[in-house]
Amino acid sequence: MNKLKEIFKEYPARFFNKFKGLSIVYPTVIMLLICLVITAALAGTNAITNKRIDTLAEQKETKAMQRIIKADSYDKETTELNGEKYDYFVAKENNEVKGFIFKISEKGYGGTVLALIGVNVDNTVKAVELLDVSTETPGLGQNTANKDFTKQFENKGGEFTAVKYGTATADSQINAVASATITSKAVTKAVNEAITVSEHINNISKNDEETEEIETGDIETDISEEN
Amino acid sequence: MKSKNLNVFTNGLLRENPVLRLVLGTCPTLAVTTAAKNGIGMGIAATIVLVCSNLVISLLRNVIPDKVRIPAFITIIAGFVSVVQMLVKAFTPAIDEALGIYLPLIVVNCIILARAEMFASKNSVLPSILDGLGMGIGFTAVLTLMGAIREFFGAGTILGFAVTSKFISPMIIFLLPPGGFFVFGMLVALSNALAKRKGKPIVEKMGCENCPAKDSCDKSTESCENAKEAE
Amino acid sequence: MKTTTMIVSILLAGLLTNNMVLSKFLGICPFLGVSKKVNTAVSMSIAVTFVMIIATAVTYPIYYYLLQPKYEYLETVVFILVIAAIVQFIEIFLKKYIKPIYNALGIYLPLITTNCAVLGITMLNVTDFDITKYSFGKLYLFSLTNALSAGLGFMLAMVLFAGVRQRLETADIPEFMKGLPITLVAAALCSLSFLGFAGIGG
Repeated sequence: MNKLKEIFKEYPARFFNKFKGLSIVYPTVIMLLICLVITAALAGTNAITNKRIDTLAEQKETKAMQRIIKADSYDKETTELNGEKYDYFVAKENNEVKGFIFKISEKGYGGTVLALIGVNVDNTVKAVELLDVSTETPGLGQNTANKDFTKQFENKGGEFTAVKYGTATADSQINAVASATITSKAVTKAVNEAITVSEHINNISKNDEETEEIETGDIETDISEEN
Repeated sequence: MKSKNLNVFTNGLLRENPVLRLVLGTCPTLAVTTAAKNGIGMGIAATIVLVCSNLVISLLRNVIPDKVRIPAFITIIAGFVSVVQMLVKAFTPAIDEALGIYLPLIVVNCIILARAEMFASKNSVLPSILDGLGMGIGFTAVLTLMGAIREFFGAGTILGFAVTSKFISPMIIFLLPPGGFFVFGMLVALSNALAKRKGKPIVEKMGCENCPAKDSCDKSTESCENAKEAE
Repeated sequence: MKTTTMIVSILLAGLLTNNMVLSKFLGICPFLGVSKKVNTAVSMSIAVTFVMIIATAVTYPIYYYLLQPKYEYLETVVFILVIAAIVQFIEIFLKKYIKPIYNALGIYLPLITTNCAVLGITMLNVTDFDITKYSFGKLYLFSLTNALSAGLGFMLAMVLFAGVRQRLETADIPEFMKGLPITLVAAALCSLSFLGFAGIGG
């Protein structure tokens, strides 16, 4: 027992004492060793946990997407509008496009609000779901995640404006959550953004179809000339 | 020997409660206590980091040279914080969302660095672990209490269960930043009143005596006062 | 959003609506500990702002080019070490080359390493701006502006509060509220007044 104690306690101490004389080398080596060990430990933990973290996040997202637009597949695509890049998902069932799902973050009250917005092919809102409102005030801004608030957007199109609770009169006006006008406005802004991008995507695909027709026409004439 | 260790453990619970008596770690105390559940989550995460870092630092106390003491401590603490962060993300994602940026900020929670500097770097392994455990539980207890108070008044629930929210419209201000400052002030006042009745000194200042950065803080205020006198 | 609007909204948020100290609870220690006199408060916050900007200038590229998307788990360790090294380096540099500034601010520097506001802002820069949406140049600009505005917001809170505290010293306060409790209640009122800014620049 004593021998073990000697090995574990005194031997390293003696070893390190020899080093301690070198005033710059010793601290550097120790810091380096600590950093190496810590990094290795972190890499190890990451290897164990990252798959779980990723699948958790993915599950949460696909579940939310299933609730918004039911489809077999969600293909990720990217588009650019006014110098900003937007990632979106094309919801397809039996190879037919049912709508687009946008993931848009907007500045809320305490930080950013992350919303998933489903838009039909005709640019009306299918459904809205909030993925992250953790930076908003609990009991106020966080209530924007409730269905009572988000269902106001459903099956409507155009530009929405958020107004004070209980004062909405028109279809495009959204009743803000009581005393949380800022978060409500942020969500509304995200929805408007999604609609604009969706319109943009639809325009592009329309143009693409037209150009495609012209191109196929050209090829046909080419072939006939060769013949 | 045994009673001494027990003493070290209970120290952090009441006599030297890190939040109310030493006034350390005020940032997370104010920030995450919007619900009792968040207080518990934060407290447990910080306790794990505190115990682990105390353990490792006390093991390495004769190896780490004085020159790089603070950077070495910070690296070790940051390592444990990241490990805890990943585990929380993987197994209790709801807590991770609620704590947000304050979870990685445990690194700069002065309780942990203060205990490393004041206790673990001077004591052997067992007392260091007990000290970390005691301080951590003390921290958790106050955070949970504060979370419960703010949740009760601000949302009418405790641990998510409706208490008064059905028939009294809650005072939301308790969940907002001013409510945090106010409830914390009241808790310190209460603990002061209790301490006074027991003949213990009351807490008047920030926890500077126990802060690892005390020296430079003192110097800065001193030199400022000297400069003013010179004027 | 347009770059200029974005910058204005970041500046307003840091100063008023999302004030570092009064609504995010970062940097509470110096806020309650050092804010007794107005001139100490000003020097401390200048030093903090300075370190915040430099820390952001160094950590953001490290995050963008080295850490994301695969090594994000090293963020905490890397950032805190980089900040500690930067503070040390600034101290040595100022001491050697710009003595007047060192004499004015140098003493605050060691304090800043463990100031959660500095680590906080470098981490918020990573989470606040959508990395898939903007180019690196824009993100870098936003982050630096964010650091500047957070520092200025810190200064505003410190200076305002130093004024409040000087009044508190002459006030007649019940025994058990003296010292820290009344300071915290005063901070609550300060923070309450900042709630009134909510919505500006949103």
